[in-house]
Amino acid sequence: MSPADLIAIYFYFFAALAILGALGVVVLRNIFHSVLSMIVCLFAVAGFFVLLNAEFLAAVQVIIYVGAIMVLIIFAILLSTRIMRRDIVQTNAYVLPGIIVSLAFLVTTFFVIISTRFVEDYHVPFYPAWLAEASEKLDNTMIVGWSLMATYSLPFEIASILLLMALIGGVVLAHRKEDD
Amino acid sequence: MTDVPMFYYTTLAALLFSIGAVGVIVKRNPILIFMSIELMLNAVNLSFITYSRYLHFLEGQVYAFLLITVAAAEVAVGLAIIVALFRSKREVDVDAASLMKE
Amino acid sequence: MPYQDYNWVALFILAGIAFTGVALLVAWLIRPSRIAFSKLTTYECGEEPQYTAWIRYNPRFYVIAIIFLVFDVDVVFMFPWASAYKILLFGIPYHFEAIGLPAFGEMFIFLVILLLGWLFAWKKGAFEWV
Repeated sequence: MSPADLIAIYFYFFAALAILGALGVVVLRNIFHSVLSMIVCLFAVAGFFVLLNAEFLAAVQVIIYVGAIMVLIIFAILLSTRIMRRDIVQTNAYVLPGIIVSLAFLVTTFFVIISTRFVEDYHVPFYPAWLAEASEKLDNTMIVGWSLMATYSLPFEIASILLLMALIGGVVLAHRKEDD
Repeated sequence: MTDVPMFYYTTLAALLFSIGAVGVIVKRNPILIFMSIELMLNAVNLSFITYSRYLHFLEGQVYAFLLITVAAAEVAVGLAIIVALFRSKREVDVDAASLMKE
Repeated sequence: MPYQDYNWVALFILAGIAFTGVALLVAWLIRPSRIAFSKLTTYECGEEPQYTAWIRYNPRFYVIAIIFLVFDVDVVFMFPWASAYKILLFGIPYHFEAIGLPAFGEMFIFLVILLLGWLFAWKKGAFEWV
């Protein structure tokens, strides 16, 4: 078995896992099962990140998405009991239009994707040769860290302000004195 | 390069995005709508990383990282709103949450 | 680290699945089958469970979860900074543009901004238990 075959096997495995997980989020009746299915999908996307040489992003995906965001969603489900009741209809009146619109979007995007010639075909490297070599040899985390701190320092600081806003907003909305 | 062609990844990202869009349009439960939005953000992340790898942009990874941060901030505030909504109205349907209109 | 090294991770996961599957299969083959109602209870030899598990929990847990989420993201932001400090300070190896000591300043501003949020949550009483 050649390395290319192995990559193809990994790709199809993760693709099947991601699509099944995503379908499970939408199709499953029990919301807790939807959360578990979403976690499967997120792990599959982390697998794609590893295949695409972005292992730092794969770790971030597992730490933030699976480790924190899904935990927060499970907490929100705990805090809303009626959500699980059997007699509640889960979908609204737009099931068929929603599916049609999404399918139309998918078909359009697919034709855009296959009809676009990306710059990859012209072999134009966007960054200097030494950086290409460095990103092959060095740790992916180091390269992302350097890029984040040296080139994207303003987005970095804005991210901290965004997190501050999330913290303050979340505490103000969710914290009440009468719970004590 | 012996690798999977790029349009496999981008098509997969489009597929995940469409599934998330179905969830956003169709579902009534606000938490499930939130999870579908996360799914769509994930699909965008996947295409960012794909372009970063195949077109040799380093920036795609930084964008994806910041996007994950934005998703985390959005979840913290959005779910707090949903929890507050549940607490005041005991209602599970987003279409019924029209407090501003009345 | 190229993704070829992650073949070992895949092997590890496969070994884990195989180990669990074989253990469950062997247990299924050799165990006796005696059906009893008490085996289906949540705690087979402990408390009798009462009421449903789907009660409304205290929203205070949710505030703790938000604070965890924000500082989880904070630590994830510190990780690439910490692993790239050599490049950032000296620009070695290769020809990286070294930005020197401002690399520390950036992270300092980042942490100070988040510290403000932490102080706010403390002032609001989000950390007070009971």
